Amino acid sequence: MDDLKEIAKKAPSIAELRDKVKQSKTLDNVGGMVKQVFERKEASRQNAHSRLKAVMLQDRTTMTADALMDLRNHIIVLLANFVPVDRRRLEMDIKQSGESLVLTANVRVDLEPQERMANGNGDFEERDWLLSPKRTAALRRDMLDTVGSYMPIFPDSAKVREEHFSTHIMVYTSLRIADGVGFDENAQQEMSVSFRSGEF
Amino acid sequence: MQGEVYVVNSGKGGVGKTTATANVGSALSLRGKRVVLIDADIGLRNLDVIMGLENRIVYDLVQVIEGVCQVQQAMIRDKLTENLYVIPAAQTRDKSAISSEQVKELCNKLREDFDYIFIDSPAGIEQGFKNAMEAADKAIVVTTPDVAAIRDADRVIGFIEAAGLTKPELIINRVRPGMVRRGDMMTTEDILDLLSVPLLGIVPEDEHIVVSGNRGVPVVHDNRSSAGEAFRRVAARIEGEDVPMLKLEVSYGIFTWIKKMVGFKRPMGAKA
Ligand SMILES: Nc1ncnc2c1ncn2[C@@H]1O[C@H](COP(=O)(O)OP(=O)(O)OP(=O)(O)O)[C@@H](O)[C@H]1O
Ligand SMILES: [Mg+2]
Repeated sequence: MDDLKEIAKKAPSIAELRDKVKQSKTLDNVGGMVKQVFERKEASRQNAHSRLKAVMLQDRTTMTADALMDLRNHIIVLLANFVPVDRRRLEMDIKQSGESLVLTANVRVDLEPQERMANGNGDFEERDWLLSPKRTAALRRDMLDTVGSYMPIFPDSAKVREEHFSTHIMVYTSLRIADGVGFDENAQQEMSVSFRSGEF
Repeated sequence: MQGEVYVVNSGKGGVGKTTATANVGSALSLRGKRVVLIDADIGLRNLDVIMGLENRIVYDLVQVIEGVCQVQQAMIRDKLTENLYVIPAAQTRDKSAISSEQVKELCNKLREDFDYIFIDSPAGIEQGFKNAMEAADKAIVVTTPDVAAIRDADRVIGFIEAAGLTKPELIINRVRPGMVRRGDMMTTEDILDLLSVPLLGIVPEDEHIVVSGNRGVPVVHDNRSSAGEAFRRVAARIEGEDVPMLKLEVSYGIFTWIKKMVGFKRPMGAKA
């Protein structure tokens, strides 16, 4: 009997039990809230942004989404023959610039830290060019061929340029394409396609 | 005097072209400029009611162009600011009633007497817009921060650039700071990244605009309205001032309310 009395003394009162239940519920709620915050779905704004990016690229030409993806892949393969290209770091875009459309595809080649050191702190002149004049000419020719299989191009319009920064190199190439891809069938459009250096 | 002609357009309808035209025009005239607003939305006249001038219409744009009246006869003087006039659209005609050459000729005539001529054009890339575009030196594109409006804005921007106008400037209207903060509305940066045009203004969603429409008094006349403040800043930028973008804040209860009630007027950049 004494034992029982002892146990009863130690046992929590009804009020204490109620508090405990309340507490655990609050904890559950807090846990739920924390979970909600951290497990939030991707913000719908990002969704909108990436969907628009894709649909606008298509709007800006008369090409289908598939053809554009195809072109993008071709450009990656083409450039990879000349410079190290990370396919995730190629950004292709088509924009109106002045009276013509411009397709841009940004290629960034990151430099290893030791390459940067050897570079002597931003002394770009001493760095070797990624592309020799001969290779540049070859890239131009290949671009005309590749992009030319998607849209009409002005012959001799391809340009290639590389720019050196302390941490990376940007490769800039461009070519102009004769009409047919504009959104305005009345305007005799010229479209210039460029693979341009830029920000990521 | 050689005034500048602006066309105000959007791809999608109902995003705030007329609201922007009325308010930017009023704000410029409050700054002492001589301004004409042309409603080129033939058949869907609206600018007159937004400005509260619907009872003063005698002649309209089509009648001016057809030579039925002098342009001065069709210009309605604003009731609130000096040197602000509206040329109303014809309500009972269709868009084919005027050509781009005629709009251009009219604007060139108006340039001599006014600092700014704004053409509130119909949404989209139809003839009405082309008419306005060919007469204009500069373009303002209005969009809201939603996917459909931005996509359509992009098409219009492409058109404007192809027409050889300077790069259009963008007004982002009906921004809801709370939604932006929650990640449920695209940010200004997102939109500029997509459209690649210079930003002329960010205008918040604001109930005062609805009230102002009801009363026929543009919201720039209301110091309590954040949208009014945003439009005043747009006017300042058009005048070449370097004014910071309106800081959009999520409203937090009583303080914001008191500020609104008192009509607290924030300084507009460096100047009034
Ligand atoms: N910043 C804002 N806050 C709240 N309401 C707004 C805002 N801007 C516009 N509106 C409302 O949106 C509606 C459409 O605006 P408005 O008429 O200016 O658009 P529009 O682009 O000229 O349309 P349309 O294409 O039909 O000519 C109006 O009812 C207006 O009151
Ligand atoms: Mg309108």
